[in-house]
Amino acid sequence: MTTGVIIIALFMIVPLIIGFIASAKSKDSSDDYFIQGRGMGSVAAFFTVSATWWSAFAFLGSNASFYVEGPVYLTAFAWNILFGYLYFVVGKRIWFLGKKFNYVTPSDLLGDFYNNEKVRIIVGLIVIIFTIPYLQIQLTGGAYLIEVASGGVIPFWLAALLFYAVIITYVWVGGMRAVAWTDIIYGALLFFGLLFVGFYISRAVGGPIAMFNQMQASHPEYLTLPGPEGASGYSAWVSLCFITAIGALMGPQLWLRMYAVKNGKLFNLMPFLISFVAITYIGSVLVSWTGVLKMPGVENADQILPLMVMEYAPFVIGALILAGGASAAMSTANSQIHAVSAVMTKDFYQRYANPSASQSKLIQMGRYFLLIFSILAYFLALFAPGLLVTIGLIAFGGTAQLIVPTIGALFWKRSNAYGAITGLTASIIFIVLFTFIPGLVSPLGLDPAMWGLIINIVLFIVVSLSTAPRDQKVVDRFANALASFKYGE
Amino acid sequence: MKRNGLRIFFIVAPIIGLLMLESPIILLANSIDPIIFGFPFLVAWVLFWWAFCTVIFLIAYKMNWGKQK
Repeated sequence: MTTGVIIIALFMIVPLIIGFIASAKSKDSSDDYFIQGRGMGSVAAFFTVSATWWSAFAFLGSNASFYVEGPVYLTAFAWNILFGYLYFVVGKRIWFLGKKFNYVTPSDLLGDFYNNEKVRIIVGLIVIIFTIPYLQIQLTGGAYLIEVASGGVIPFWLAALLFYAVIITYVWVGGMRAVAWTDIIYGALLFFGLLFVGFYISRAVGGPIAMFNQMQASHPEYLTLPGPEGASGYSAWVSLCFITAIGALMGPQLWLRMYAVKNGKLFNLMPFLISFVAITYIGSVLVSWTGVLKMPGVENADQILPLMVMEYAPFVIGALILAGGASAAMSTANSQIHAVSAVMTKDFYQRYANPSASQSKLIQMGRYFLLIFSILAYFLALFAPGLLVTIGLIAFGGTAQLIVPTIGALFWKRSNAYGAITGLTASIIFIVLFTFIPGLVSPLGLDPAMWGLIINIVLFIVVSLSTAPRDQKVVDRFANALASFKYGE
Repeated sequence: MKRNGLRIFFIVAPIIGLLMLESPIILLANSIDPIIFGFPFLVAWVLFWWAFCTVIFLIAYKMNWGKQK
């Protein structure tokens, strides 16, 4: 137990040191604080994108899903492929336009393309409101891990508080640079940690192949859709894939990372790297289905990984793995807090409250927003519990809607603000109604966000075609920019 | 012409892989048997198409996604 507390303490101290080293390198400009002055190198960019993409949703949520719902989370292999593919097709163009027109936030690009303040505000609100539940997941997941690794010495509320105190401190002092640097360490820990522990723990039943044989003999319902509860069939499979990949890609934390990259060549490699790291999910399969055999009936399924690790792995390895899990949570949480504070500062404070704010004032406001959103997420984690995957889908569902106006901006000259506003508004209303009103059931078992996407696409196209086109000067400016992208890539 | 064909291949091949995993075709693979290398068929099917897309992405990167360097 003492060893566990020491490992947790080390895990807390290392990012703080990195944060202070990063702050020594920083420049006194808001671009440097929010997007590292568009100078992020390839290694840091890969690890920060991957570690941000790999959150508690993946580390703990994947295990809980395999443990309770059967194989539906295997769709994660496909969503990594889809995410990597979209990162190349959509992300590279966002990076290019960001560099050309000096964008920092999602609203900068979409507001500029659609030449409309309402689009700018709606996009800003969507990324803020729907990122907070996702932030809550990370906090909850990280706190679970610290609580278990300390053998219960550190209770959940204190673990969550410690977790955020560390993040706030190093993001406060080091900005995007500190986040990216810490993500290099977190990324390495979490990718190798989960895969390793999966093979290690499956030895408790004779190894991976023996585990599959025993599952086939005693729990065959776990090995095919719709899983043991009969509730996770094809609709859940396809919803999880599309909403997770698109929702994560459109989250402000990933969007800012597209702007921050120095060299566009990285986007050509990312599909392979992102797709490749999906192999880590095999670790989740092995841990959770070994758990079905050896530790059935765990009430809070999100805790199956820490419980299995503490039961079947040596304590030091277990604590290190749990630190890897907390890394997954922290590496996403730090990016989200940082991104949401960037959106509030640039899209709302600077644009509407204080357009002539100095660079140091912008950085200061970014830090205040950092604190406010962290406190909000902390109270949500304490008082609004829920399964990580469930909360995650709500968050992803909202940000996923931004893909429609974004694709419109990149590939369809005839798209306009009326189409974007109508599509986004209708889809968000649909998602909120079908998620929160009891008795309203999403048709065909699809996630409400999937229907939101369909409604969004239809309205976006129909309304854009039936209303006046955008200002020709803006159309030409973007058309010329994207034409030079095609020849310059 | 050859380069153009490669470009299209690198764009289309991952979509085929995704269709194998996310279209209703996946329901044809939704079974335990036949066991492949010790893995239930659904798991083996997912791993095969994942490996297919990952290798395509690697080749695409090596060949600059079919464009002139």
